[in-house]
Amino acid sequence: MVKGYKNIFWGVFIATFNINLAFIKILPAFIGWIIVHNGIKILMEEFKTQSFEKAIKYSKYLIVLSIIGEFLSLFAGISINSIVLFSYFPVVTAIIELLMIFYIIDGSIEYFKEIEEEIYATQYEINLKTYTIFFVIEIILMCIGLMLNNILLTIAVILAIILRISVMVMINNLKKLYINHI
Amino acid sequence: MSQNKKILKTGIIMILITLVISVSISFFLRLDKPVFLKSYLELKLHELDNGYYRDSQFELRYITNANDYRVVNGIEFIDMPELHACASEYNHGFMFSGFNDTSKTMPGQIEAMYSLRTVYIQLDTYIVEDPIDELHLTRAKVYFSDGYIQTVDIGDIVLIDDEKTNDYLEFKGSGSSDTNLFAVKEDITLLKVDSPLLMNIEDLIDIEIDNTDYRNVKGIKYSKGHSLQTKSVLSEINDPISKLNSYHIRPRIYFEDNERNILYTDVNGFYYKGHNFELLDLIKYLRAEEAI
Repeated sequence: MVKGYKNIFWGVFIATFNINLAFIKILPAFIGWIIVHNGIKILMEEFKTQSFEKAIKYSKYLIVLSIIGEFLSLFAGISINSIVLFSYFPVVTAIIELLMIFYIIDGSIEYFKEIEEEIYATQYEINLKTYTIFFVIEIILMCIGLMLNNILLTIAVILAIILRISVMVMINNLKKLYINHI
Repeated sequence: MSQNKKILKTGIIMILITLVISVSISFFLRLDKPVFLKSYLELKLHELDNGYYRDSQFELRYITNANDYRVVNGIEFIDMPELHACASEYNHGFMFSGFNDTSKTMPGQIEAMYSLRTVYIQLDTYIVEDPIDELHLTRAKVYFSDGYIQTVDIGDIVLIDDEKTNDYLEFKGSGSSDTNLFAVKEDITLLKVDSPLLMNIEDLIDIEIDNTDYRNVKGIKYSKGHSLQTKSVLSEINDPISKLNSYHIRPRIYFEDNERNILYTDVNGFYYKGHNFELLDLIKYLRAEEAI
C-alpha cells in the first residue's frame, strides 16, 4: 500500500507542477497520471475493491485526455483553440480527475473498514466529503469562468491548486498511516 | 449508497447542468466573424507646412470572440482602392513598419466572451489630389493576420478639404456650456449650419446660434462689430447601436457676405467614442446587428 500511495503522491505532484526545461515540457501532466495509474494498480494488488477498479478506469481516461490536452495546447492561438467545445476541454478533464481521486480515497476508506480502523475511515469520509464539495464548486466556477472569461476562472484555478495540494496531503497522510500504525 | 457517493452524484449532475448551459450560451453568443462598429468621422485634410496632412489618422473598432488570436494587419477602401493605408492593432510605431508582430500580447479590451479591438489607421493621403472636395470611405476590405479577408461597412469616413479660410468671424473664446464666441468682422447673412455627416447625429445634438436652433438660422444678418455665439451640445446616447459607434462631426456655419461669396466657419465639433462597455451593451449591439 505504501508504494502505491507514494506513486499516487508523486503522480499528482507531477501533474500539478509540470516541469519545464527552458521551453520544453519534460514532465507533462499525462506522465503524472500514468504514475498515479501505476499507484492505483499497486493498491489493487493488495486490496481488491470496486472503488479502486473505478479509479483505475478513470485514471486511464485521464491519461488519454491529458495526452489530447497536450496535443491541443500545441495549437494554442490557432483556429482549433477557438472552437467552443475545445475551450471546455479542461472541464471534462477535471470531472474525470474528481471521479478518479474520489474512488482512490473511497477505496482507501473501504480498506480501513476492512481492517477495522473505523476512526481513520470516519476521518477520511469527512475529508472526502469536503474535497468532493469543493471540487464540484471548482468545476462549476470553471464552467462559468470559461464562458464569461472573468475572475471566476482565476478563482477556479486557485481552488484547483489548493485541491491538488490537499490531495497530496491526504495521500501522504495515508502513506504515513500505513508506515506508522497499520 | 454512502453519503459521499450521493454528494458525488449530485455534484456531477450539477456540473453537467452548468456545463450544458455554459456551452449552449457560448454557442449562442459566439461570433462567426468579427463585427465592425461604425465610425462617422470627418477628417480634415489640410496640408501642413512640413508636408504632412492633418487628420490622416483615425481608428476603427470591432468586436470579436475573446479568444480570437488574429489581428488586423491591412486595410483597403473599396470606395477608393488607390488610397493606401497602414492598419495595425498596435498603436506605436506601426506607420514605420510593414508587418505586425503577432507574438505581442493579444490586443483588445476583453468583456466576457468578447474582445473589443481597435485598429489604428494611417492614411497615405499624398495620393489625394489637391484640392479635394469631399471623399467618403464607407466600405473596406480588412486583412487579418491569418489571411482571412473581410469586407465590412465601416460607417462613413469623410475626407474634407479644409483650406478655405476667412476672416469674417474671428474666434474670441469658449465659454461654459459648450459655447463659442465670435467677433463679426464684416456684414454677413447666415445660410445654414451643416456638415457632411451631421444628419447621422441630428437627433443627438443641439446647436444654437444666439439661441436660435441651427435649422432656422437662414437669413439671420449680423453687422460688422457685433458678436455671434454658438452653442453645441451632444446629448447622452442610449440607443444600443449609436452608443458603440464613434462620431467626430464638425459642423460649419455657412454664410454669405455682401458680395454673395459663400464662406464658412467651424462651430464646436462633436467627438464621441463610446467606452466603458458592459457585456449587455455588446450583446444588445450584436443582436441589433443580427450577428448573434
